[in-house]
Parts: sequence; C-alpha cells; structure tokens
Amino acid sequence: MTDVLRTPERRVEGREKVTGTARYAADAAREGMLHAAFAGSPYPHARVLAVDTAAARAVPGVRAVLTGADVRPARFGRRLLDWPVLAWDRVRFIGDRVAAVAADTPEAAERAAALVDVTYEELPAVFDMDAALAPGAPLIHPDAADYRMLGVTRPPVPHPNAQGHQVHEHGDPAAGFAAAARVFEHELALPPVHHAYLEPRAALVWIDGATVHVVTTNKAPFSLRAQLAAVAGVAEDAIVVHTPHVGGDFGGKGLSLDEWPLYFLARVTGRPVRSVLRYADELQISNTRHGARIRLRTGVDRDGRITAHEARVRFDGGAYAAGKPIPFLMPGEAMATLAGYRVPAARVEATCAYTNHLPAGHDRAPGQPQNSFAAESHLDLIARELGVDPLELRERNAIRAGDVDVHGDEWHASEMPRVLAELRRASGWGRPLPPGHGRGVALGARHVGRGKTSLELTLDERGDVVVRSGVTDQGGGALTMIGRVVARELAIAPERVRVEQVDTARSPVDPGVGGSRVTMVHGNAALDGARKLAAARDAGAAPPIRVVGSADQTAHMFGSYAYAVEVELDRETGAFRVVDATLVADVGTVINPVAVRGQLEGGFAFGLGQALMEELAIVGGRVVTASFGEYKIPSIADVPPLRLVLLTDAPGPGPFGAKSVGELANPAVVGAVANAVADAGARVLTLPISAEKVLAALRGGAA
Amino acid sequence: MPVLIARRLDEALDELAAHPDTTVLAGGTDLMVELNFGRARPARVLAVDRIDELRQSAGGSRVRLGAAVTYARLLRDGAGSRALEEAARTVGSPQIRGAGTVGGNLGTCSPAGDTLPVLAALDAVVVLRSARGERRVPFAEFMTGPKRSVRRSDELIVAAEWDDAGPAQTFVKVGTRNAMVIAVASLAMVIDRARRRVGIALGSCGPTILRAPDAERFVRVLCDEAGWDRPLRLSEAERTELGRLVSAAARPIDDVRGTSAYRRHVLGVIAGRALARLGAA
Repeated sequence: MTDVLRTPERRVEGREKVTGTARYAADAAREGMLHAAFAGSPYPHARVLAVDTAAARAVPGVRAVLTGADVRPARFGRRLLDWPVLAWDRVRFIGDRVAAVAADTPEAAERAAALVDVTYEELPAVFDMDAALAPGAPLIHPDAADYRMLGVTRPPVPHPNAQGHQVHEHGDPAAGFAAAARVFEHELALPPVHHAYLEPRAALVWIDGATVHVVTTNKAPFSLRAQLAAVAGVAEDAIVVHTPHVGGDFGGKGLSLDEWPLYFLARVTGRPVRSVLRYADELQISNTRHGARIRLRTGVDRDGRITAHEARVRFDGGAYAAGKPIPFLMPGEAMATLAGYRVPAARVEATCAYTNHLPAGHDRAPGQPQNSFAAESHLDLIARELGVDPLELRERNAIRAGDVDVHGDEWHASEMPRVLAELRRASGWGRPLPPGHGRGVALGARHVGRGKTSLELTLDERGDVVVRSGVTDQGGGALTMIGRVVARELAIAPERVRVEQVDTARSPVDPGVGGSRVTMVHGNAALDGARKLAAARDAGAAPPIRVVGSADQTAHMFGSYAYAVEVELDRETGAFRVVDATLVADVGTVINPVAVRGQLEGGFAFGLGQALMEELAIVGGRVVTASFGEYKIPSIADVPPLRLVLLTDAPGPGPFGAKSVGELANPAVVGAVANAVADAGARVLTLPISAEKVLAALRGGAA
Repeated sequence: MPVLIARRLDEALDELAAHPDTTVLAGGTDLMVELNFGRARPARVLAVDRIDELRQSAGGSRVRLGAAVTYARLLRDGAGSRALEEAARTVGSPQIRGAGTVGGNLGTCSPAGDTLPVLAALDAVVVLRSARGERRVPFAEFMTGPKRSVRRSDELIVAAEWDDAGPAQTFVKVGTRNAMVIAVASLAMVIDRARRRVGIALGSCGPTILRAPDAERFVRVLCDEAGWDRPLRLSEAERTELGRLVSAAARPIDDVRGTSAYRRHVLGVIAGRALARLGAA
C-alpha cells in the first residue's frame, strides 16, 4: 500500500465546505430564538452616569434590555477577568458595551440598541503606550486589585496601566557591550492589525433546565466552558459548548465577546438568543494583533558577531487584557527579540500597556511578528553599516547546537545553519539584480506546540475506525490530520477513518486549537490511540474495540525557517511590488503535503499583508479602517509565487517526526520585505511599508 | 421598504415622478454598502438594471453608453473609449464588475468613481431623462460636489455620450494594493488628434472630478509644436512642467488612504508617464 503520508490530503470537511452545506455558528437556530444587539460607547474613556432603556424597551418585539447594573460584577477574560460583560461604571474604548438587547428580529434589536440613552462623563483618554506607562497617566483600571485571574495569581506590574511586564537577563550584558567593536541602536514601530478571518464571531446560547448550551465560533471550547463557568457562577459540567465549523481563527477566536451577554439575555428571557457580529464591529472591538514600539541595542565584534543585546519592548494592549491566555498577560513571544540567533548576553524588558484603544489579543505567533520586524530590520541596518552581506551576517550569528538564544536557553540542536545554506542556494542569493530591484532576507524560529489531550477511537467489525475528539477545526485541517495519522499507523486507507468533532459533554477535556499545538498533541494522541487499537486487535479482542488515545507533549523544540524576497521599486512614486520569494522551512515529517504548503503559503500572504498594507488606523480611539473597503488585505495580485523548500529530515516531537507549521512562517515576512525595500534604497522603520513612506525615505526624510 | 423592479423606462420615470424620495438601484455595489453599514435607509427603491433601453450602446464617431451597462459587459463588448475600458478594469473584483454600472458610478458621483475622470476628460454628456423630457448635461456641469450632482429627484441617468477621441487616451490609478482598491489618486488623459483637443481630469483629488486646464493647454502647445499627427517626444523639463501643472490643479485632502502632498506628487508623476506613453504612440 502506498504511504498515506505521501498522498495529498482529502479534507474530511472539504465536500461540505465547497458545496455550501457546512454549518457555522451563525447558521445555528432554535425554536423561539431571539436576536441580540448591543449598544457601545462612543467615547474612548468615560464614566457611565446613567443608562435609560425606556425607549429601547418600547420598541415592538423587544424582550429584554440589560445594562451593566444587571450583570455587575460579571467580567470576562481568558486569564484575567478584566472586561465587564456590560460596563456599569466606566467605558474604556469606543465600542465598549453598555447595554444588550434581545428581540424577535435582528432589526428590532438593532433599533432598540440605538435607542439606549446613556449619560457619559468623558475622562481623559490615553492612546500611546509610553504615555500610558508614564507617571501620573490617567488610570484605566482603578479597580484592578479586585479582578479575578483564572488558575494563577497575577504577577506584579510596575505601573497600574501595565497589563504585563517581564525582565530577562542572562550572561553579562555590560561586559558584552564593553567588548563590542560597535554598538547599534534602532527603534521600530508597528500598528495593530486584525486577523481578517472570513467568518465573524457568532454565538447562540440557550438554557435547558440546569444546562447552559453554547454554540460558538470559539476555537477552544473547553476553555470557553471554564471561562463561562467562572463568569456565570455555574459548574463546568452544567455547560455544553458546541463548536461547528469555524471559518478562520488565526488566534483571534480564542476570545469570546458575545457569549457573556447572550448568557444573561438567555437567562432573563428563558429563550435561545443568537448574535452575529458585524464585520465593522470585528474591526472596531475585537482583539487585534498588538501594536508595538521596540527599541533594540546590540553590540557586535569586528566580524559582526553579537556580543550583547538589550531590548525595550512596548505593546499596546488596549483597554482589556482579557484576550490574552498567558499568565504574564503579554503576547507569548514578547521577550523573543532576536529569535533564532546566538545571543551570549542579553537584557530584555517588555511591557504591555493598557490604553483606550480596542483590546489586543492573540494573533498567529503572538509577539513574534513585532519582534521579528524590529530584529530583522535592526540586523540588516547593522550589516549595512559594517559592509557585511546581510545573509552572511545572519550566517555568522545563526544559532547552532550548544549556543544560547535570546532567552538564555541552550539549543541542543539547530537546523538554522542548514536553513540559511539552503536559502542561499535556492534563492540565487548574490545573483545580480535589475536596476530598481532589492533583495532582503529574514529568518525566524518558532517553538513546536505543547499540551495534552485525549480522544476516543473505535474500531468496528469492518476494520473501519471512528475517532471522536473535542478539538475544533478552524480551517487548519485538524480532523484530516488525525485521520491520516490513524490510517498510517493501522495501514488502512484514510477514507476508512471517520473523525468527528464532538461537544464538550462527549469529549475528554481538550486544550483547543492554538500555539502550533494540534499536530503535535492531537496527532500524538491519535497515534497513541491507533497503537492501542492495533494492540487490542492483535491480541484478539472482538470489535467494536474502544480505546482512549492520549498525549502529553512537553518536548521543547524549534522549527527554523528563512525568507529571501525580491522587490521592484518605483523610485518616482515609492510604490513597490514583491516579485519573487523563497521560503526554506524546517518542518520535520510531513503529514499533509497540501496542508503544509497551505499553512506556509498562507503565513507568507498573511505576513505580506502586514508588511504592505494592513493597519487598523485609530484616530482618537476610533478605528477609521473599520471595513474591508479601507482595511486592505492582499489580493492575489499582491502575492508573488513562493518558492518553497522543505527540510524534512530533522524529526520533531509530533507523530512520525512531524513539527509544527501553523505559525512557523508568518513572523519573518515583514522583516524580509522591509529589508528588500531597504536594499532598493528606502529603509522604512514602521509598518505598513506604504508607497508614501518609501517615497519619504527615498528623499531622505523620516519614515 | 418597497422595491420596484422596473422593466420599462416610462414605468421607471413615472415612479420617480410620483415618489421623489425614491433611491435608484443600478448594480447595487454602492447602495448595498450604504445599507449594510446602516448609513442609508431608503424610503423606496427603484431597480433600473433590467430596463432594456438603459442597456443599449452605440459605437461610431458619436459613442453612446447605456447607463445600466456593467463594467464586465463594457469590457467584453468594448466601450468606445480605451481609457474607459482601462478604468473599468480597475473597478473592484470580477463580482463587482459584473454588477456595477457606469450609470451607477455617475449616480453615486464619488470623487473616487473610477470612470468619472475618463468621462470628464472625454467631455462626455450625461443624458438625464424624466417624465417631463430629456436634459443633456456636460460632465463638467453634472458633478457639483462629493456625491452631489445636478440630477433632479425625478430624473434617471439613461446614458453617457461622447465623440470618439481615437486611441491616444489612457487612465492611470494609484492605490494601496494591486486590485480591489479605491483610488488614492487617478488621472485620465485624452489626446484627440483628429479634433486637436486635450482632456486631462483628476480623480480622488478634490470634492469633484477636476480638470487641469493649464496642463491641457500646455499639452496642446506641445502637440501644436510637434505636429498633431506625429509622435511627441517629451523632454525631461517638459515632463516636469506637466507634472507641476497637474499637481497644481489638484485640491486633495489628507485621509486614511494618503496625504494631500503625496496625492499631488503622484499625480504629477503619472501625468508625465501618461503623456510619454500617449505621445509616443
């Protein structure tokens, strides 16, 4: 039989999706269902003095209008519960919700929400992350001491407007800087961007006796269940979370927004209540990729080898930290300022600030695109100053086995030198370029996913297998991957394995999609289950044979990758095109050839968007690009063909030696593009790299 | 909200005469956005995209383009203007080009309407019809401000007409991505060699589509000197001067798509390139 791993995947949900029969949360409906709408603050920071709902209640078809007074003190969050379900005393960003309506029709609900009459007293707002962390800045969360934190104690912060803060130091930075031949310092900045998944958030909540049911777009149903239990004060096993198809996530769908007010509306009306977020609201109120300002200082010896590194990283966390699941309440890789390099001594300080912007949260390799843009631009500037070829500088500093990285961790193995050697070859590095063209390089490293899960496998009389898992498939191909791993191990065709995603009442606890986890964790659980089935079968057990496959993936390992991109620059207008790109990626064993390519190409296009055009432009707290008319993501005319080289012979901890690819190749795109544009003559230190900034840089101005 | 789907022109005109609060729906590519964002709540809607007469076009020395001709059809059948076809190609996505119409572009009358600079540079006439009769308004008098025109509430835009200006015409658009983009700035240039006429019009650079009369005069003089039937070789100084004149004609603002300074600059650049290309042909 041919190796399953070498045959292109057949998506288990593909037919449903392309024929339009796939059902999403927005399609869920119950008899007697009401529709919700919300009233949001027009001010970035204000006291709520009074909320008059009389006019809203008078709208025909309205069944309930709730305000902060009705839900107080319910706050939600993935880790820190700092976001009021409905504001009762204070609003902290434009769109912050003050009232929720349930009505017979969406139109009646919208009409009523618009009639909620709120009296505000404006408070001084703070939009800049450094201003927010300055002494005497307006306090955004005066009651922070009362906030609950799920599972852990909140680490101390140096300023009441800090969400999270960390300092790392290893080696002897002072000695390293003293020994350096040259020291360079640069500051770079990025605006917040949005994931731009196709499907907006949607949810349906109903209460059946003692059981709360939630249909959701949340990509981590068990996590949502735990949060809802905390917010609503009910037991976890009294909540059932149903996750149908999820239409894209990229990390954003880990945070639920509507489920909380829907729960309270369902409770007071006794009816199912549904809401579907408008995309304008996705862009105005949902959790973004953090904007950041990053200052890097690095000492190098005469050959350009790093001797010491210092970084000050600031993230704009927006009005709430609720979107961040990690206890230190910053993007996960907040401290990874020189990922993939040997850094003998470093001091890295990162702070995530509360501001009166919309809340920031998790987005595909959180923290890495920001730090990668800063670091890769910084190193390129250093290479140019030293007169060293930028790829050569990276080869000299790329982390090797036995080196320590920016976190002070020693790598026991590193594919980075091979990745760069392959990039040099595959991209034709050094080949002369036509006039007006520029070439840039950037590398990256991303840890593989960790976590534990269990899933249930049943082998029937015909030798077919049914797998039941609580994992969601947000488009990444989790269910298909699980099926292929089982099929490979049992040496049967993938079509003979049916993988079902089941609700939280019918599945063991599952960590959900995220952190490049699924192939590592769920893949290993599937492999474990398949081995148990085979063992039982070989021992003569009679079908149906039911086993539980489990995995607890704790190995800490990195995938390495690097890009070379080429741009063609129009010196008169500043406009440029990315005309060529090469990605070399160390991915271990490939389980789905098509899915791996899709994740890597998708990560590339995702990064191009942030490099070229994406920006949640915020003026006075209001997102002025709150539609896909103004918030531009790349069209196919903006994305060049990607030359993809996979290194598959360095095994990872996943099934059959797989590594993660979901977040691997996104972060370094921004730096590679910035460096290519710089090579063509224009160094731009902020994203996105607009034609206008390029033109200013060409003319020698600040960009 | 009542929606009347008109099949005949007289039926549509009667409806407009009877109900001045009617909103006209052509391809819907603007109106549906307004509805989705809650910015428009029309009292009544009149759909005109199924009226045969509005879908008729005629070529020849006098071109007539029906208001309900979609961008996609215009690209398939030819528009009687190369620049108009270039402009249509930059509109939205294939789906938008399959629904959107030139009449709709005129009806919305946005300074960023892609076909409008071309109609301006062609000195096109907008044909308006009401139950009371027909008015023919030169484009320069048609548009009075952002999303404002002289169309009266009982009038329907039925067609645009212009004299065939020959092959020396082009449309250039600057945007923040390579497709599906609203213009940061756009420019149409028409050199009608037969009539010895030059039209230069600017989009997304002011409250209305702007003509650049000094730049037009400058190009006319260049063509006079070189001979209208002969290729025009542009010196660097002439190119710079044309750019200066075009930039000076713009009245742009700063917005999320670009600053006024960049708009002025880039208009000068694309004007020089447009003339270099047309002059060499």
